[in-house]
Amino acid sequence: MSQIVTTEAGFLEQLKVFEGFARHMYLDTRANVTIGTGLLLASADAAVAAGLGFTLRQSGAPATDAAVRDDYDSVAGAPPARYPPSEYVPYTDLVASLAALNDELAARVDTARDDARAYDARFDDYPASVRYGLLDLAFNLGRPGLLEYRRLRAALHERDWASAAEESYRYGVQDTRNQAIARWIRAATG
Amino acid sequence: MRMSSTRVFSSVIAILAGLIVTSTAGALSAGSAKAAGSCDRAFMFDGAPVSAQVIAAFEPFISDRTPPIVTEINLAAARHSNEYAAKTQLGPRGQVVADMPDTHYAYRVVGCAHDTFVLETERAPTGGSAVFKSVLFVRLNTRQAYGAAGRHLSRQTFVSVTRRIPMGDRDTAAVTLQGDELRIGSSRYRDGPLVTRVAGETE
Repeated sequence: MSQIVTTEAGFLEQLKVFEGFARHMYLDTRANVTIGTGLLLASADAAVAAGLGFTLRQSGAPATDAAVRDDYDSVAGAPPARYPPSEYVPYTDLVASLAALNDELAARVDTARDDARAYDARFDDYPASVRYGLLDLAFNLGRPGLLEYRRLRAALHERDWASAAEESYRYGVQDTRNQAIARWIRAATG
Repeated sequence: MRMSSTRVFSSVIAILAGLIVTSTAGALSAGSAKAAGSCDRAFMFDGAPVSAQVIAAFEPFISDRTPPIVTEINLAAARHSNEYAAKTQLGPRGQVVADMPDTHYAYRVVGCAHDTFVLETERAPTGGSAVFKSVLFVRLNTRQAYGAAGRHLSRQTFVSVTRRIPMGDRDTAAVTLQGDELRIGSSRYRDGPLVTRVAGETE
């Protein structure tokens, strides 16, 4: 069972668990070449230009642009619909810089935070574990998906954390993720 | 190190096989679903694939644990409406796709049995990481209904959903229909395949 998350660093680590994370390129469920936590690489040129600090997995030596393109083409030609992303390790020789991927993820979490604030203007007033629960919903569902949660927002405004925990349910994500987010929100009851 | 040349060759064969399957799916999406079952019509309306935006309207909110609230839509009315004006396109893997401001939606005709079409759908809310997948059982029927002025009857075509089976976010399971047996393969959301029959789902 995961810990109650109350810090940004803790949230980023937990988000990697929920969303999946890989330092090598892999195919997402739509057969797009992807890296990190679902960062889409639209082309081999985009992979080169992404500034992800690719190195050779075995030697740690910096990768050439040609090597990045080679890895991209190899993954693009791999069978789709494999899970987890580590299934694509055999198609790659390179890994991206962990710091670069963390920075990229943090930037997208900032976007999700903006979405959470758009969803609920009181977002910043909530206890930390509630904010991170909402942030997980926002990262996963985007602003339009989060805006569907009208009963959740009503419960938040009442500071009825138990009801809010119930209303945070997503049909279609892992049970462990739903249970964790409900616990984070319920933790605000003290 | 990267996979061996033998494994690369095997992968190429697998990809080519996948393209052939995809081509079949594309043909199904374009209207030849009849080949997959005993249906007497294709999943088409007015010479075009049924609007993906119309099918999207059957999906409940992600926040809701309810069956579909909308269960029937008048295709004839939706065809020339502003409400359902999102452009429907064919995707690269044979899906029927609509991009709307708040969501990307796509469906693929898996097959058809007993005049029920089985659709594999995916819904990706704009700006989120999620791609929620589901299976819908849908039917087309044509009957007399009133027009816009509410005075005159005419034959109009409706699409209705008779069953929805939610799958999961980025669910990698294969969805197949053999005869009237639907199989949703194993994935991180289910240890074994889910097998059900199309027949009798409206009982």
